[in-house]
Amino acid sequence: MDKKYKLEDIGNRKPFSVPDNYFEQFAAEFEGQISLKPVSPFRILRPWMYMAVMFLGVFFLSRIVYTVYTDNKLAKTENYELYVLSQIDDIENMELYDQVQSFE
Amino acid sequence: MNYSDAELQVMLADPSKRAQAFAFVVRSWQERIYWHIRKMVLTHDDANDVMQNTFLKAWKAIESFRGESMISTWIYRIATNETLTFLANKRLRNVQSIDDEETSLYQHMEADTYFDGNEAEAKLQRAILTLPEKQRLVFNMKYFEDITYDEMEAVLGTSVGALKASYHHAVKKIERFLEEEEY
Repeated sequence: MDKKYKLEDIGNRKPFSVPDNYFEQFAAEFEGQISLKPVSPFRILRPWMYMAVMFLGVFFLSRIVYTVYTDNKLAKTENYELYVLSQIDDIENMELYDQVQSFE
Repeated sequence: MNYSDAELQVMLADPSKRAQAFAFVVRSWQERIYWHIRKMVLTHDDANDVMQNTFLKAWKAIESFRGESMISTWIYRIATNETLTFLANKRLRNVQSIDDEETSLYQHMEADTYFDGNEAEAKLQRAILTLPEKQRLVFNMKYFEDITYDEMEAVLGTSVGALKASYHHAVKKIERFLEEEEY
C-alpha cells in the first residue's frame, strides 16, 4: 500500500544532494585536465609551419621535374648525333672531312 | 570577473585564451548542467560521469563551435545527448536483467547516499520514471527548473507547441500515478 499524493503538495524541491565542495572540486579538477598553461608558440606557429613545408615540397618537386626534363632533352640531342655518326662508316667520314677541308 | 556570451565566444576562438574562457564556462554552468543530468540518471556517480563526458566533449569540439547559439544552449544540448546515450547504454547492459530499466534506476536512486527525498518525493520520482525519456526531460526542465519553453525549444529542438502538449500530458500521467494507492 502506498499513500496518495497531490503533485502541488509535493512541491518542486530536488530530493538529491551532492558531496561537500563537489562543484568546487569538479571545476578545479576539470581545469587541471584542460590545463590552463599558455598555449605553446609551436602550437600557434604549427599551421604556418605546415604551409612552409608544403611550399618547400612543391619547390623541390618542381626542381626535380625540371631537371629530369632538361636531362631528357639533352640525352635526346646526344642520341641524335650518335645516330647520324653511326650511319656513316669511317671511310665516308674521312671523305667528308677531306671535302670540308678542301672547301676551306 | 564576469564575461558576456559575446566576450566568451571571442575568447574561445583565441587559442591563447581558450582554456581560461572554458574554465569560466564550466564554473558558470556546471550546477545547472549537473542537475539537468542528475534528474535523468538519478544517482550522483552517474551524473558525475555524464557531466565529465559532457564538458570534455564540449572542450574537444570547442573549435567547431560557430556561435550560432548561446554557449549555454550548446552545452545543454551536449549534456542532453550524453544523458540519453548513457541511458541507452545502460538499457543495453540491463537487457538480460529481470528488472526493467525504470525499476533498476529507481532502486539505484533509493540506495544512493545522495538521495535525501521523503516518501512523497520518492513516489514523484517513481512517477516521473514511468514517462518516456523525452517527456521526462521536458517535465524535469519545466517542473523543477522552470525553464521557459523557448529555451527548451533551443535545447531539445522541439517546437514550443509540442513541448507544451508534452508537459501537459506528463503532468496528467504523474497526477494519476500519485493518486494510486499501490504501485
